[in-house]
Amino acid sequence: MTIHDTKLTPAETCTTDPRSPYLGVKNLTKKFDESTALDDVSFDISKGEFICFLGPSGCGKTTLLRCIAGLETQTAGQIIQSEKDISWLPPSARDFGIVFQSYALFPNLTVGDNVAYGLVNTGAKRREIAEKVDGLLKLVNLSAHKSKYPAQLSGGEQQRIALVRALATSPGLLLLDEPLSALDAQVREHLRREVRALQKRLDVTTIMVTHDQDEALTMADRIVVMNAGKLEQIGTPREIYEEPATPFVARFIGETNVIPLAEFEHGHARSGRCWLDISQAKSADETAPSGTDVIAVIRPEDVLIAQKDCLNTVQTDILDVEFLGDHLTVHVHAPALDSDRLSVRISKQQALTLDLSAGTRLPLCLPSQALRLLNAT
Amino acid sequence: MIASLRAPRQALDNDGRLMRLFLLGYVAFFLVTLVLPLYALVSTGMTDGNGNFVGLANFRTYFETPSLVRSLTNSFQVTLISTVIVTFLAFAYAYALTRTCMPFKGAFKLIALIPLLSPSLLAAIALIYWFGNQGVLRDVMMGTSIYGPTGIIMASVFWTFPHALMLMITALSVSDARLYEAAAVMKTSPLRTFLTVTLPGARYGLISAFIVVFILIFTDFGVPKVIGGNYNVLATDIYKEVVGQQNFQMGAVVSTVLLIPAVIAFAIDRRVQKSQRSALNARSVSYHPKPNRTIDTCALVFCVLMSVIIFGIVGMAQFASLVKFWPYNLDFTLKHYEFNSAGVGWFAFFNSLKLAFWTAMIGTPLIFFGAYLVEKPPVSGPLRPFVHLMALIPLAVPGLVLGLSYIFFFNHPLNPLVVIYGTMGIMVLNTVTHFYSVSHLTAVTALKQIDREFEAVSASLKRSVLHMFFRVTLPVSLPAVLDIWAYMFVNAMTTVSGVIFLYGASTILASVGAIHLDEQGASASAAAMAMLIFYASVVVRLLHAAISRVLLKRTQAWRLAK
Ligand SMILES: Nc1ncnc2c1ncn2[C@@H]1O[C@H](COP(=O)(O)OP(=O)(O)O)[C@@H](O)[C@H]1O
Ligand SMILES: [Mg+2]
Repeated sequence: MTIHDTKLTPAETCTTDPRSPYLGVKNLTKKFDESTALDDVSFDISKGEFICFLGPSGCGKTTLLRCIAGLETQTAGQIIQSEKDISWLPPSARDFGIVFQSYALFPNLTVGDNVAYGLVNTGAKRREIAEKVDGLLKLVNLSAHKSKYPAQLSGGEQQRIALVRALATSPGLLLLDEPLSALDAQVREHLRREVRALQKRLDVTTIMVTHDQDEALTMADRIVVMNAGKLEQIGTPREIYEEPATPFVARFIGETNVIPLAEFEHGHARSGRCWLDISQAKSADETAPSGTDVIAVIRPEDVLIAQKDCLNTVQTDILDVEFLGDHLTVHVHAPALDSDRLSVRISKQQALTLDLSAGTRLPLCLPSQALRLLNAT
Repeated sequence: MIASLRAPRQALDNDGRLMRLFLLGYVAFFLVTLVLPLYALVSTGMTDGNGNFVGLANFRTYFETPSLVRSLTNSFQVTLISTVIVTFLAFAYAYALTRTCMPFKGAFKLIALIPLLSPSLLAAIALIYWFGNQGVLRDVMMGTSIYGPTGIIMASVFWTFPHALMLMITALSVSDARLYEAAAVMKTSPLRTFLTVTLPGARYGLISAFIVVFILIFTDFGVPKVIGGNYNVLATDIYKEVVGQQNFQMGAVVSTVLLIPAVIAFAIDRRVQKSQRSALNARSVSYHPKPNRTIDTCALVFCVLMSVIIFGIVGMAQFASLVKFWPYNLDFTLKHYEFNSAGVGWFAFFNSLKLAFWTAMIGTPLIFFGAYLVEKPPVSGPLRPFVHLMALIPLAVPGLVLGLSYIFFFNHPLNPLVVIYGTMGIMVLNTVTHFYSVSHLTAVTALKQIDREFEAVSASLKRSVLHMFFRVTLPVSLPAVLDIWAYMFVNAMTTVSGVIFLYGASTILASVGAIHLDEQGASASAAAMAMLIFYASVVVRLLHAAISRVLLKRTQAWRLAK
């Protein structure tokens, strides 16, 4: 194959494969003056998926969302929607609905007029518009508030109005920037379910930005985990939780114990004065671990109280105990390991059989199959 | 190759193209009303009487003429003294209004704003009736004359007081209550709290007020013209060079000399305000004063005193315009309101109303939409910051300088716009430009309070930016729009310096008429004319309040919804 052969025009490369992604982000980079807000981010989204961008604040989630909407222009990279390159299109030429954290409801228009805002210029008749508005308001149980002003509604109600306003024009892509973060905990939980149900019902491809891992884990089909402008991992909530690809993901999602590893020999690895059996440990990449930049991670709920047949038994001393309702988290000191602090999650029942006062000896088991090996860098 | 080297840009949609076109329109507007006239002014200063380029020769002449240089030092002298006094008084008054539990705060605030409603020369005329050679209180002058620096300083303090006060009130109202609580917890003495918390917190406001007042007084023409006597300042020099001696070159040179300190002061002020913005944060808690008998009483006494002075000035102008022959015959008469002297009549007053009306009608939409373009729709590139900068520059350009520059630019034989020379049109254009900046800032502030995502939502719903503007932005900003209208109207009524070179025989204005009446020795008529302006301003302000109220009630139900 010569170099010329690979130079296909876009039209030729675009096949009409039904499984081709609905939205493709390719090598997206965004620089603000000096700082890099997005660094070579790539991923694909299928039609009808619910995607969460998850990461600490300032990691570039909003910037990524705004690039997809055309509200920011990328420094480099491409965005493909429905097989069309939209990278340089203005927002008005793209197909999306958007809900901001502030809701951005028009304060001087009634709820009904807010929802109808985008419908009026679709050429629909007045009666059709009124029917559509009624239908949308019914969808979120807010029909009674049609002629009220936004300021007369609660935060959660305003939120839902903003949602149906964005959905009124039946966009192919729904973008939500921390839509629930301004609400109190109870309303938030209720709305999570409602947003998700609405999304499933309308089958609209959705991207939601959040810094709340519970929100992402409970709502998303797939999660895009970001850190400092880089994409760390994309996967289902289960994959993200059980098979973190990087130490950042392991630490950011849920709680985790990190054990630095040094030497590797015959399916064992040394940490401090302990040799751990890692023969059944899973690894993010398939190559055998080596060098000094490898860590093992294990979730607190996977750490067991040591039985006789445990291979990786570690002696520890209890530091303190946190009572968390349905379970307890015990923090222990493990002098033999390189990481001298571990967390163990135990049930209430189990706690009854143990002496958990500070300073007590507690032998723990780190099951080989529950360990996950990651490159620390 | 070239195409790949250039960074790609987002394609413009129809809205984007339209907004860019509008922005270009504003660039053209500022070119015609600001940049080219100022260029014409500065370049005229570098030519001789026959239009030959002579470089800085005129400036050398200027600095070698002792009488002209004396005006420069005079200007600095009276301006600095007045500015220090105003800043001090306004700070004390603002402190009383914001930091004490003195009664009648609302009334005192309204009273303090009274000087805004009259031309600056009203104070000068009134002071002459109080302290002049035949004044009521001439004995307290102990033989010195009110004509000259003393009079200029007193009148300047009067008319710039509300300008400084408003800035000061803003600066003092934003202070953070938490700092005072901290100081109280640490048992800090009131004086120490004042020195370590209050003053530093208000320092940006103080600096800003100082600079704004400095520019106002440094460039004012009405006051020194009426009460300056033989004491010349830059502003009166320009008038004398141009009107008296027809020496346009020297007029341009003096204008440039006047312009430079104003521009420097303006630049300093912009910097100060930038740093102020970053010094505030959203978590600050607003401060509520606690009663303190001594302080509250002192504040009350001070505010009463200031109010008496304000009423004394305005009241004297009113009184003097209603008596037969000051000070010998104090019988009531309306003859000073007949204005049957040469060239000035009631038509001057109606001209002023016309000018004010058109300035407000044209200026308000122009300025508000300009601020919208600068603030809201996403047009990248240098156009928006450029228009914003242009919109602020009039703040630094003295009215007299702007007016003179219009002579050079619009009266140029090659300028097709020469047709508006000597008409009401050129005065409207000049006045809109002269008062552009403050209104622009008012509009920008109002627009900043509107959710910045509205345009994005609207675009995602495929509605045009203009639809968004008329359906949401404009209704939501209606109070600010009405404020701008009233501000433009009142300023157009009271301005002297901007239009003194631009009126024609049939378009003479009330404020200019007052100057001429005073020049002719008809100071009672001058006072009468100034009072007419004052009452017109009062009426417009009252109308503004009433209309705002009705309109807001009718169209802004959503504001009251809670
Ligand atoms: N308009 C902007 N100008 C300069 N820097 C920006 C701008 N918007 C965002 N940033 C920077 O980009 C980074 C990512 O911001 P953002 O996307 O808002 O983060 P997140 O939404 O994940 O909290 C931050 O460091 C932020 O300071
Ligand atoms: Mg964000």
